[in-house]
Amino acid sequence: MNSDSDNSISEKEVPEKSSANLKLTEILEKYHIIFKKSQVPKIKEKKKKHTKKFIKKYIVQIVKNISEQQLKRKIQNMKTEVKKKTDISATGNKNIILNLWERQLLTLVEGKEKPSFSKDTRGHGTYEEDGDLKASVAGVKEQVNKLISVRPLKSRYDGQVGEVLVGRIMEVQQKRWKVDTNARLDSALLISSVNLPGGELRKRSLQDQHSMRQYLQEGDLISAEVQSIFVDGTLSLHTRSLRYGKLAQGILVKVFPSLIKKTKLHYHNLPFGVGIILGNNGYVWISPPVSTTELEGNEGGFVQNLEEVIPRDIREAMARVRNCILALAQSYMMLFNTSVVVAYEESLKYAVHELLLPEVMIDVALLTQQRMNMMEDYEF
Amino acid sequence: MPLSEAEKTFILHGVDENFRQDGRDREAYRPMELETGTVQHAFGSAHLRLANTDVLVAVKLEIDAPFPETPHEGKLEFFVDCSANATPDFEGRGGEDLAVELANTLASAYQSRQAFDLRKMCILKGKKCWKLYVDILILECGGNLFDATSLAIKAALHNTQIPKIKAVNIDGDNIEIEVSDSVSDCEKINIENAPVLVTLCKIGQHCIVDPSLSEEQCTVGSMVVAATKNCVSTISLLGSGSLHQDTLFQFLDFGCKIANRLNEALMETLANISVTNENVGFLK
Repeated sequence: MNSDSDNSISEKEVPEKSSANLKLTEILEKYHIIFKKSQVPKIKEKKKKHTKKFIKKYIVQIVKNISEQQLKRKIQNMKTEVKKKTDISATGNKNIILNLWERQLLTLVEGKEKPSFSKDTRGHGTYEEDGDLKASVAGVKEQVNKLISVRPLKSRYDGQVGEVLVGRIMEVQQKRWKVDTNARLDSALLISSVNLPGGELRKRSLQDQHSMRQYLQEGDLISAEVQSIFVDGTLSLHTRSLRYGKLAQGILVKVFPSLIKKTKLHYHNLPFGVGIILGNNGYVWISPPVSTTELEGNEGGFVQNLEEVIPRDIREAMARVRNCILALAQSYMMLFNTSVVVAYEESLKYAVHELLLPEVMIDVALLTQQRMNMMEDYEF
Repeated sequence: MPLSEAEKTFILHGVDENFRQDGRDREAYRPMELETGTVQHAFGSAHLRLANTDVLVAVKLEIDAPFPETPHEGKLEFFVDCSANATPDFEGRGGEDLAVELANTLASAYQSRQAFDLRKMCILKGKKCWKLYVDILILECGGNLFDATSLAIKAALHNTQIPKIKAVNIDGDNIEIEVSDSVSDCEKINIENAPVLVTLCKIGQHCIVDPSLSEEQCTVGSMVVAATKNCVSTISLLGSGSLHQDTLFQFLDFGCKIANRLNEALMETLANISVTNENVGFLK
């Protein structure tokens, strides 16, 4: 219901046919907690108490015996009646004329705020049943004004402009690379949106198009940012920053995109000598620490040193981070800077290869959860 | 899934250092989960999960006539089904080559009498014998399919119960076989010597077992060794690439060692699996 419809609810007094209903709503006013849908034990108990009191009062005032079951049904019927009358999609532009009791009930159930009551716009991942809005997928509810949608936990990546991604080159085409980013369609990295060796102002010639494979070839991993989204839903990426570009040695871990927490920073150098990129698309890149000075240079980041052998201690830390991330993802815990660090610290009592065992994975996830909860209590 | 040069280098250096991507050393397997008796309609079944590899094996029995050249022996047949759920590559006829390769390797691994004695499956010489159908369903493909399959088969055979034969009536050409009425009146199959397949991958100068999908990408050559107690029943090379003679013998020794270790672990696990009458299956 929008604000205009408030005016359309006419104040006209309608001959009172159902005075019993009016009486009922008047009593209900005191016990409106009954309408709360909350399942919190405290409120639940209160609801129960109020229902009993309400029945007593009802019997006294209306002089009619009624069971709890009957009463519930009666209230439900009244609610449906009001719902039907205030349903804008059904009534169209017609004036909505409500009885006194109907108006009272509408305010009681907070019909203007409740989505299922006031017929809000139904978003992705929801459906309607008996006038209620229900989720059709397991996930997180998201509300933008009156649009309610549920973001599924398990899904492919839905890109948004400006997000940081990790992707793998699948194909080299004319003027573009096709990149696997865990989206429904392969993303495109145009040659015009990469920094080629020689600086930003370099002109791109036909020769560059011919030598695209020298810069990035099939199988190469890149980090990039979503530049725009084409009409068919394909993501267009760019690497026009020194942070982005080809990735060197490291480990790629794949998790569900919804498990990556959206933060300002997705590049982290963790305190134990590991750099990670938490790509918004669910691809996590674990590498040796990235020094900021190394980023400078004129090659556009396309040259790699394959001779370098990563020292054992860093390798161990990387493997541990990998196993920790998988443990957290298996328990559906959000991945971000702090959670990875905490999980790493909690996992230190196990050897790296022990972290592959299912019971150990759960243990690490639980300990991490506990510590995160404690941190939250402390901060707020 | 192609890998970049840098990733391959990282894996290679890791194998050199005896510390792989997930923290294992070269000889270590990933944790496995084994469940037996998961298929109620089968005579024996097992479900094995090794990291992301998921294999379901069911054993079915039928009475058949033995081959004329081996009148004393029963029959054993392997059938592999690569479900398209495992990886999209298996869609259509995509998994057929792999399925045939796997079935052939298994058949030749079980051919030797030292590995699996088919003479026990004979009911009446030259006339009647048991035929074992071993159906293998690949539910998910996460690398190292051969090892996982062979372990699941061994567990399924261990789980298999062959009904006892009470009497055989011969009336001219007509042979009647009377099977015991009691469901529990069964015989177990001896799988003590059944082979275990070990895939050995050569990465750099070293050899690893239980490769993950990304490690499989960097191998220069891989080999499957089917080994039972101290004897090798089959060797086959996987994919392209070749091995030097010295490396081959080195691999064989290594494979036998791993197979023995794996076999011991499996037999111990199977002995510990208690027989329960709980409902089993995927929709528990």
